[in-house]
Amino acid sequence: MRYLLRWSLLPLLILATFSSPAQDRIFNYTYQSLVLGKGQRELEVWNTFRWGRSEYFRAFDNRIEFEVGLGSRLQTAFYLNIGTASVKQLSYESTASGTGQPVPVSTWSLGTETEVSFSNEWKYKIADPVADAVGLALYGEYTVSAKGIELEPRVILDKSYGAAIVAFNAAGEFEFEKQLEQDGTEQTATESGLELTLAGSWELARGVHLGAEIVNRNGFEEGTLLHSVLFGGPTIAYAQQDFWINLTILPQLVALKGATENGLELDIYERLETRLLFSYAF
Amino acid sequence: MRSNTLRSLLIVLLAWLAGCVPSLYMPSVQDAAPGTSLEELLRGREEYIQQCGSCHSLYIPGRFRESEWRSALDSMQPRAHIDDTAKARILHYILTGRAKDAPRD
Repeated sequence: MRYLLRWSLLPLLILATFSSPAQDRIFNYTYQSLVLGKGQRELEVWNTFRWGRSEYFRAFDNRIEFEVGLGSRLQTAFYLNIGTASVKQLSYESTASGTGQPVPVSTWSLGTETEVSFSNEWKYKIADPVADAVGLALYGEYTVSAKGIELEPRVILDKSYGAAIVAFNAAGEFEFEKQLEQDGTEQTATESGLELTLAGSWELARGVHLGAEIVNRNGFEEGTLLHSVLFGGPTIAYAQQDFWINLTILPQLVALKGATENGLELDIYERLETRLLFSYAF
Repeated sequence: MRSNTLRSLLIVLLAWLAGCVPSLYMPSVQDAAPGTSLEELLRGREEYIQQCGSCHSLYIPGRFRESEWRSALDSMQPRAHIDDTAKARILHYILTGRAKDAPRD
């Protein structure tokens, strides 16, 4: 058994010793200013699992991203997004009464909704986190779905201190979505948000980073802040020559505004979300 | 509570930005050894940023051992089309900086 274990671990040890990690991203929610070199390509698979609201709620968000470097400072990426959410919902059925007239009866059930969309991002690196005083990049992403469009401008700041990396993002979210009024008329609903993220990480061993991320999500309606929620949790990243994998566990810490239950906001946000990112460079 | 939290976050962020200097070693006159000028070290730094940083993230010189840097430059030279003179300048800059970066090995 010991012989078998030794020989099965040997290839991993050799890989860990001699490979130079290609990892350019060590956080899952906080972006870094680095971009892929010209012609470099990466395929990233995102898996985000969210659950725990006041009523039953579970959601699974998947993104398949194809990322390509266009120059020493510019990169673009294309995403296919598939999101599924199951929620507790009240449905009405008609049954015949003693008078022969249909009577509405309400029943609880689990409703599942799936949404497919497409996104395109552009990132431009202005300053490098190692060569310059602070890394700086501007980022823009748009998403198109059957219901509407979403825009996400983002400012990225980061700093590398050798083994330690710190990053901060400020991102706006503007959503324009078609909705139907009760009388059947179409309307475009607008939602806006602001997301601030802060992350820090330490390289424990070559290609292994351990850190933490804090995410502050704010929702607005007509310029008024409706809710503000703080998430925070550990993040771990592992990279080898051609691939990297990141995992973040992000519980909701506190609702700064709009708390609904024990200091948390559980009508719109979840108690916990986890994100796993896997990337392969080719 | 919200405004206080955001204000604190902003203050921390500004303090962090104000205290930032490049992590990448910047050569000084004292680092120029006999036969190597400060200009050559600075040129090596610039070439390291341009040639290496255009394809992947930059590493501070203290991150790798001397043997690892030599081996990395040998393997990267043909891929990045770096000529022998530039390679020598980059290596000299890195090894000079490595001595100052408190190597982690």
